[in-house]
Amino acid sequence: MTSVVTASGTGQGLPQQLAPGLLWLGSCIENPYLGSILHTYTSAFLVSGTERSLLVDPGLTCDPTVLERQLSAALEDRPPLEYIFLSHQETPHAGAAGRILHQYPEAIAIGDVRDYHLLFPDYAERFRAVQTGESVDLGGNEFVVLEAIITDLPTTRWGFASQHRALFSADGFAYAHHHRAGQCGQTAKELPELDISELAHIFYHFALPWIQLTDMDPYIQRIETLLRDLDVQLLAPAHGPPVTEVGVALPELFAALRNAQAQPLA
Amino acid sequence: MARSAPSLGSPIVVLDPPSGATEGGRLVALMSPYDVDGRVSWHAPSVRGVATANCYLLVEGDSALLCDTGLAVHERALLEQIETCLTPSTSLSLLVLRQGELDSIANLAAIAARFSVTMVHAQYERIEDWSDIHSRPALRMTGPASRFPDLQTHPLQSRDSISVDPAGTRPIEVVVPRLRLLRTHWAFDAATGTLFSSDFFSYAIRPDRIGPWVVTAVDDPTDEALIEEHLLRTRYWWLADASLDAVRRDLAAIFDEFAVRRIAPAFGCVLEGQTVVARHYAMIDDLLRRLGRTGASPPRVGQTRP
Repeated sequence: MTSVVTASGTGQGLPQQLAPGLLWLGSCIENPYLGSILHTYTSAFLVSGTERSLLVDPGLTCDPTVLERQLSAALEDRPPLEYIFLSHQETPHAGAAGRILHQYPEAIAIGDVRDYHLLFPDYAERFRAVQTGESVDLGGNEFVVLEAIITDLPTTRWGFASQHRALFSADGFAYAHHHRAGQCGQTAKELPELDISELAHIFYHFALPWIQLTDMDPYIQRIETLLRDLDVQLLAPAHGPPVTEVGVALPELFAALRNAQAQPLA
Repeated sequence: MARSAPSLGSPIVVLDPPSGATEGGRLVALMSPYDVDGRVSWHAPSVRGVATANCYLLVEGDSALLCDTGLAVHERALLEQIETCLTPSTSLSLLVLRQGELDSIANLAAIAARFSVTMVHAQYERIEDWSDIHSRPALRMTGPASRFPDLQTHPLQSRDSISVDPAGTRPIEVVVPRLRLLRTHWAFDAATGTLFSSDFFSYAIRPDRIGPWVVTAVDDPTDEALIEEHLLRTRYWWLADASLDAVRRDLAAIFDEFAVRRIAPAFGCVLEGQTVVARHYAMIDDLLRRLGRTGASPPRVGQTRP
């Protein structure tokens, strides 16, 4: 990726249902890189139980109204949106928080909600702190707020949906896909030709520079423990194709973390 | 010596010239206080007091450049501050140092709407896509209802040079420091010796709203322990686990190249004068030397995370 990132893509290929009650929303962003165009996602996820729904990461996308449109359509036959989980306050994750709170006046935003009273003062009363380890009940589906292991801001949190065994990892496990027909809106399993390790390496270089300066093995060990303890069956990063075969993709994802320091990009 | 306008609410601080009037300043700090009460993640959770969110207005003739756009909660005060400092004929452009973060772009739409901004220097193309955060129709940046069809973005390179005025008489050097959490630029204004350091050097706060908001050599209570707590309990938690030799070299190169006489962070007090700048640089460098991991030291992963 160069320092120029255009935001001119569309919601091509999305939304996609990953499982009953779990919808992948958002759109792609184009990233010029070494003469080609890579795509990364600005993903959001709609998680539903029998009683209520929760939106993970109302970020700004290349088409700022695509999320509103996707949500409106999706909620026609799903339980009402009552929660918005904010993984952290970067604009690709929380930039549309105010607009979604405006659109859904019964919903509240949860997570580590420090700062938001200064950033969205019109909605200051609708941000509720949910601590690490605490959960909200969607009806047969608990959404648990977790400490983020691959992180940036102090407020960054991951989430876990118990029914889907899905880990919502924000900037963790992010990687681009190629700007070729058919790749947008596909999970990792549907894109076997993707070099996940290389593409994740590129992402970390540009988005999380601290990883290049850090021995990531202790972090990897913590991730392995977390995935095992929660029996995670699906990885749902904000900026990469969802991973439905976790055991298959993990070696490449971990290789990217290690390579960031061992083989830093120029 | 910097001089403050009388308002205690959201002060306008003329940084250059030292005895300049508010309307004649070449460099003006537009400062808006907020409580440091444990609810603001860029201050350590245990710290209490008052800090300011800072935007900086650089003026050259009939041109002005505003560095960053402040917090949304300060929108009204910030618009009044800008209006106080500009004449109706002034052409205003914007410089955004952390485009992907809400505290850097929150008031971009409101400022662009009020002051007919046409150019934004930022990190990625199409700033309107990155700042379309408001539900108010008048501030929508994109779509058919957008009121900003003529807004242009200049995407900053890792090393770049821009200018306050079209003639290029007031150049601003822009760099990406290695000492950063996310995509961040720092900027240097040679005319005033000011380094705009975004989220770094942002630890100097005061016990109450009286200020003063400029740290000078005779009023500089910050010590290395305070800075260490600030860094490790906020956005720079990762320093405890990182190898920092390259970061130290990069920071040294920045201070070697630029004759910094003032550090102007996005949050907290301005650090004023060569003596203060040298002291704070030395404290940061010593911290980086102490904190950085060597091959022999054990990882401290997660131990410092806020």
